[in-house]
Amino acid sequence: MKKMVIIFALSTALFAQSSIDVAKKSYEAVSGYVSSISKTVMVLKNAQGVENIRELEIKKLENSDGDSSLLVFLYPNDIRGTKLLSFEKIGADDKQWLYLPALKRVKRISSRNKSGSFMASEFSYEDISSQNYKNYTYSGDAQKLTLDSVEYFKIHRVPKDKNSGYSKQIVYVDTKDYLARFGEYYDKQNRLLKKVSFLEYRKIDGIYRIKKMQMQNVQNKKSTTLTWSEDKISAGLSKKDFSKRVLK
Amino acid sequence: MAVEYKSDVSVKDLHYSDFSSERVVQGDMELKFENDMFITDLTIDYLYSSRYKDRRYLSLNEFYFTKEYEDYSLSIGKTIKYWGELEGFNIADVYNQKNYLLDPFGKSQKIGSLGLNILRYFDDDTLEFGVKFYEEDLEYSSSAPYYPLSLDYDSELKLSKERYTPTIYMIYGFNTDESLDSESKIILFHGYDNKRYFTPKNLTTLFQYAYRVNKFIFLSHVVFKEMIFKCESSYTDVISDKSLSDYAQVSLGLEKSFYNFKNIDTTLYLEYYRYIYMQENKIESVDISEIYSDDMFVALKMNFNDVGSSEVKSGVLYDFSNKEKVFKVEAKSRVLDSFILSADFMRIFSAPKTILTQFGDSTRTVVSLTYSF
Repeated sequence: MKKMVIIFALSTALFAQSSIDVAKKSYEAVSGYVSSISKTVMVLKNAQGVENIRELEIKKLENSDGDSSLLVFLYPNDIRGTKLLSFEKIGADDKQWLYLPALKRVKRISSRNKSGSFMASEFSYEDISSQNYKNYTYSGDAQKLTLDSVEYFKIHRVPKDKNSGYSKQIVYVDTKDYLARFGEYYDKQNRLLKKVSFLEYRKIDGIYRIKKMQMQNVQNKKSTTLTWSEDKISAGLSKKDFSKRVLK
Repeated sequence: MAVEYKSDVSVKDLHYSDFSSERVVQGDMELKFENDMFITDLTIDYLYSSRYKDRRYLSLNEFYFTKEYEDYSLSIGKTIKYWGELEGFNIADVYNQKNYLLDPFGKSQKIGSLGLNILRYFDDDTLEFGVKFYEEDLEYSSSAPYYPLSLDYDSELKLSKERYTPTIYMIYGFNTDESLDSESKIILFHGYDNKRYFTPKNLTTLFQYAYRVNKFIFLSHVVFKEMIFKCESSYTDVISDKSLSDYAQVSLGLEKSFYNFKNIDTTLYLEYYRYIYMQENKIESVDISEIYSDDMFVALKMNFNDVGSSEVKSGVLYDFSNKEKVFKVEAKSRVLDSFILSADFMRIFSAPKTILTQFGDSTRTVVSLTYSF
């Protein structure tokens, strides 16, 4: 009997996956798009259920040491034409520039605003930037659990950036396809702050792309839903499409 | 061919403690056409005042063509440019004249200028050559608070050379990344100064006089953690006008943001401006830029991160030499997605014998509703 227990324990240990391995596979499941152009609709809902719409175009360029992105705001009309250019750097501060069309001004902004709200939504800048697994520390093995007949890996991760708005995040990853399905984000006081749901994915040329996600702020009862209405990968973009030249 | 269109129209009520109130309708329409050959941008501005007839106009403020190449960009036409780093006032922003008809206190209201520029891109650096072909007449309303002088004004500009004598400039933009995260520009400028002075046409009428200068401008910002340090400076060598002194201007600024306190993002701005006349016994205090002679600007901006993207800004400009103060607070919020409701309050505490003296100790309140489509 003792031998059976030891064999079972050893085999379990052999087949257990570390949290970082799961995180890496989850990241790789949505990587490899090289560059992308997408149109996104953001629906903001306040605690009273009142909704507001934001629309933007997002261009992204994959890079091993940090992605580049260009966001062009399309709606509401008063901010149409405003652009945000971001260079993410793993392990270092990002660089961001904002183009204000009414002033014809390109303004450098401080990119330590990880916890700041993006367009008054429940997504912070940290939430919409690249979710590269290297930006977090992980400990131990991923715990397996089943919810509503679906098996998940449950992984704990802590943002490496000291300026992050989160003390920790718990992410639930589907064991079949390694896609993140939902998560819980905790504030600096270790209280549950937000719940994220990755509601829908689509596969484009063999690569999984998020199609719909929702962020619920459990403290202020607001929520934001992001839906990608159009999405094109391997879009032929290069570094030149993310230079400051494109801002004006 | 791609076509983009954007328009804003505002209805504003302006109330002054010492001057007549008025209601204005103002707005702009922007059109952009893009095809394989070039890009065309066009902006029409308009203003209609209920009270002041000379504050009514319809103007083609921008109309220019841009051709993009691999490493070059060429642009020709009537344009508005922004050169600057600071928030309260931009020493370096000399390409366009200010639109005093629209709002003498509005920093961003400018008149399009006819010119040509070529921009060369080198990775992160840029080199630009440009020329302004023409000096515009400046219109002023004949009534206070929009007209600063006690005599009549003839808007036909007088110049030290011909109106079409070009103004040329060169801009070199460069970045540093390794030890210091900074972006800087050096501007060499030869031509008509953005500053002009008033001179008598006869006993009852003044006109503006434009003179030629060599100007050296340096502007820069450095990002350090969550702070941005900024600098704008210039030296102006006045060519062949004995009435005016050579002058230097320096401004330094700091911007620091605090995020997510009670869901509010707050940005603090601290800026200092200095205007230095190189010679004595010359004409002084002829241009709005000279207000910023020994001044501190402190401002706070709060974004409430609500569905209306509500924002409150407040600031004070304090003159250490003349003990003048200007205080302003602005608030705005988006309503029903296409409307912006805003209000601002300004209080002037003026000193004797300065440009602000004509305003006295006065207030201005503006309430505005803007529709964007």
